[in-house]
Amino acid sequence: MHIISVINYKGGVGKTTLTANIAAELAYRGHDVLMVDLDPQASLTFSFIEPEWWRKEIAVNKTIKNWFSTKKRERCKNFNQLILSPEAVNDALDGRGRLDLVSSHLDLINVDLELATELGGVDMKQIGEKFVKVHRRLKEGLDQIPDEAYDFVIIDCPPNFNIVTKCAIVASQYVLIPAKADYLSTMGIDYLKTSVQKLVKDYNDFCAKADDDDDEFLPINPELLGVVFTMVQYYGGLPINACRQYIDQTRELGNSVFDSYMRENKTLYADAPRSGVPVVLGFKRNRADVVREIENIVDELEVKL
Amino acid sequence: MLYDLNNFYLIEIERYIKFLKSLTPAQLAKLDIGDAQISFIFDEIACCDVFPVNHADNNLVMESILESISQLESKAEFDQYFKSLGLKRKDLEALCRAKDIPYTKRDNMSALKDKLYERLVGFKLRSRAIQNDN
Repeated sequence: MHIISVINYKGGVGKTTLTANIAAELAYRGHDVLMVDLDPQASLTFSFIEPEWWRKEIAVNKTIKNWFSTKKRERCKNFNQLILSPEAVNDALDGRGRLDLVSSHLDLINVDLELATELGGVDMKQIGEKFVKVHRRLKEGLDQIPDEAYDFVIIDCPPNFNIVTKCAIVASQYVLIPAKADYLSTMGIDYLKTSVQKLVKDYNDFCAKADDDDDEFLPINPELLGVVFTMVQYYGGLPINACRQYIDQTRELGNSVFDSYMRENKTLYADAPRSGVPVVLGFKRNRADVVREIENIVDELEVKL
Repeated sequence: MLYDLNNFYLIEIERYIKFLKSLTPAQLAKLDIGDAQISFIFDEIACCDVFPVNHADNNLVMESILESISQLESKAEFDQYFKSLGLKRKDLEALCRAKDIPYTKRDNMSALKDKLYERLVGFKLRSRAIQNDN
């Protein structure tokens, strides 16, 4: 089971669109894929399920908030109970693979404050143990899923580096960074790399200091899979010059950059979430050019894993 | 190591060494048996300034300038080096083209210079600053 976090500090970089399409393409290739929506905006969730149905059937006790919540009456202890199988996308997959989802909740934003109250301690040992315990929260949930149940778990992270996001990094073997080819988004890559390095160091230091041989204190080492450029504008078959320079800069800074990009296409990408079927599945026949780009990204991803 | 910014010959020697290192075993074998050769062409040039050619028309000089700029470590070094070059608008445009930097005819010399700084030096300094600050 490969666990991948999709994250960039900068919002609006096409993170959710990339997550949904990569997950759908992997499922189309016959894999069983679980998506976990950790973004309180719940965009990934509402790309696959109707908000009205979510509110009636899911919101109270079947979202990721129920896993993270520190309140007893809200907390769910069986992660598997939070998994949904969105109907429209699985119909479109027609049995090739499976695409499941753990949905987000708009109140997830408050969970960070709750988790923060669980940090601290009277001495360094206790501080360390609590740090590890809190940041392992998602990993513990994913550990409850039988290894053979999914080939991929793809986590859509919020555009920040709060505790919930850190939990995603701790739970992941890989980190994938979507970025727009512009000044602020590419700067977000540097912030993210630094933050991930610091988290890994802090977490592993605390694990090393814990005098416990339990699996709970094993070090982590998430690998940066690379940067996928999204919303790229094309002219004459090539990314426009203004995009190219940021892509080149990112490469020159030593980042691994996917050779394939996702193009800007508001007509397709803006409306696809309403149907519950990502572009890569819904437009395989009539927009092969756009779909091919996502397929190429997934080709590269599979080679990197 | 920072190049002597005005000594293109040193830069050229390093480029030549890099070129030699990039040769494949097959290419080296061709050189060994005389099926291939490496040539240097002496081009006599008209004037004799520090940069005796029209930069915009000379790819080697342009590449050397770009390589030198990319070694710079601060805005002050960049400004100083740029001043020493005495480049004309045509040269700046050629440098922008060589680095695929978008510019328009409305960009003045200062704007072109800023774009070159950002593309060749600024982004690296910014990345380093972000990663060291945290």
